[in-house]
Amino acid sequence: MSSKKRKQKRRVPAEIKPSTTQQPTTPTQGHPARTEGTTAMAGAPSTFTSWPIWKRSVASALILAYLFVLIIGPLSNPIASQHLTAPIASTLSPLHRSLFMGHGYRFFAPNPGDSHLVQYKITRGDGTQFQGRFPDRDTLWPRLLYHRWFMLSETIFAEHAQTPSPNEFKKLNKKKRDRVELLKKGGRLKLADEVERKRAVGEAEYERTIKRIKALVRATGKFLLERHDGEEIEISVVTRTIPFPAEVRQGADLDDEVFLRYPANAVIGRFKKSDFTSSIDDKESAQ
Amino acid sequence: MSDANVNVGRQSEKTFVQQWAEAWNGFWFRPSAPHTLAVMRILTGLMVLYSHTVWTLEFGGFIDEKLLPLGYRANLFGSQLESAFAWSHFDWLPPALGMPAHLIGLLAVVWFVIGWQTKVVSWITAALVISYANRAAGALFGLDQILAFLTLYLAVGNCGGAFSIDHWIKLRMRTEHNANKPSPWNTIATRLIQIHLCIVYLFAGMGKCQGDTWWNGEAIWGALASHEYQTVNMTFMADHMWLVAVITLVTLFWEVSYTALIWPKLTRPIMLAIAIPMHLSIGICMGMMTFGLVMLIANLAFIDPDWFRRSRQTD
Repeated sequence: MSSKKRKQKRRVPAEIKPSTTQQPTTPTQGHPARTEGTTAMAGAPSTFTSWPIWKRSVASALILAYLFVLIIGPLSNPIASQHLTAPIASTLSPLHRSLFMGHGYRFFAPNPGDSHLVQYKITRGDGTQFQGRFPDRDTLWPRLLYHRWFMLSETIFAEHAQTPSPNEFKKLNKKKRDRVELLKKGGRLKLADEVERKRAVGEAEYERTIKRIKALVRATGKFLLERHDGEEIEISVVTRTIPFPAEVRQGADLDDEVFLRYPANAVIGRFKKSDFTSSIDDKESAQ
Repeated sequence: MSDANVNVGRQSEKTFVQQWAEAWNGFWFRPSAPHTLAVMRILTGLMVLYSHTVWTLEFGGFIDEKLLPLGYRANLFGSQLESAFAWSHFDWLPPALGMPAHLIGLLAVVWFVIGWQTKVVSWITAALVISYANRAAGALFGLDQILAFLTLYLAVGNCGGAFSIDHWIKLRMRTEHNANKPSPWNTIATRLIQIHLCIVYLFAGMGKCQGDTWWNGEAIWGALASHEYQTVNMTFMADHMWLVAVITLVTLFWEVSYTALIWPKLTRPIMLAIAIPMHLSIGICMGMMTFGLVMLIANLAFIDPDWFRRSRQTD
């Protein structure tokens, strides 16, 4: 082999060298059995492609645009940069929503955490009481159905726990308004406008969250009342903590009641059957 | 700088750009056979079929809005416009037609599994998965996210080009000599699955890097000792916390490094071999067999279509 040829061989990365077991033909040439097995894994020079350059160019542009849309999802969820990824994600959100993309993919991150359950106490027409919880592995089968209910209880807890009470929010909101007034008095009008804008956005978000929680808890209450033929229901949230290895070594069971924690505002809803008159209920839910 | 040096510089620059272009073309557009996508179509389709059949058991609650009402979904996103894009075909149907539409959807997924009219039903299946996920927001988990992108990318490729009724009919009618011929569309679909999977593992791994328990080696204990997740009693591991630490750190390293080590031929079999026990243990011990299996199905994208073709010929 000449020195020039050796140099050329060194310059071509191994990844784009054609495989010695495959013929450098287009798929329409040669024996079908030979081209059928063309692997998608190893790269190859463009002579292997059957598409003309214009088609490859258009496809490349679309692929790059799609990959950008794709990567913005986990770069903005659950945390986003207000100066970069958040506005981009907001612009791309119609695409994310319509293709069910934009997820953060933080499975079991940052730490595997406590479980959250929904507990309910139902009073029937004859005065008897019935207490239940979901997810309940004794009644929910198959496992995927159990997991759906588990995710619902996690959603209800997360919505509830991460949202301040109306009184707490009122106090926080007042602090922000006071700050805006101070800034205006100090002549810092531009900054005051910026703070006021963010406060207004936060207030709108809070109102939307409250509507969402109310709709979810109300629907859960109505569903459980109908299912268990009850007259009244009280819904609360419970946290089951992860036991320490030492506790398990000393004989504790994972379902011991000692691992249950009831937050101060554990009760998240109380409803009567009469609360759910059909037309009013539907209108309220949609608002 | 002499003219000769400038010419050499330009030449090497051009070569570098050309190399990039060739590598890009080879990566995305080199035609590939549909066998891997076809196997993934069957397995993904079965998973969608199972998932949607299970929705049937609580259709009124999760799909027919009794548990997840419009008042919840409409306020889920930043704006009404955004919420409007989280579409579901059930939103456009009167409630009485919900169950018939669901059953027709199940039939379409069966067609997808057996590969009949695959070019049409693969898009219908992808749309169904997205539609159900948007409708049941609040009761979802990783399974739905993975199924959505798998069905979408399978529709891009010719996933009915092998192991399908379509292929069988074409061979029988001799309308096309090489019905499962290689196509750049198969390569694009495969690459999209591979890259999406890398993104999933990368962000899952980086998210874990923020957690203390993934560094002190106790994270896997947190997963094993969760009563709600547990399906197999693994609490004996409390006596072997060193083993818990090993599994924790291997999981963390595997997820973070997957994006880099799944591509070289030398490390790919190792990464895939680790994926099997890791995802199966999630399925067996933590009761998420559907999630564990769908992750393994997604990993099939890294298996050469030739391997499935040869396996079939050997049979």
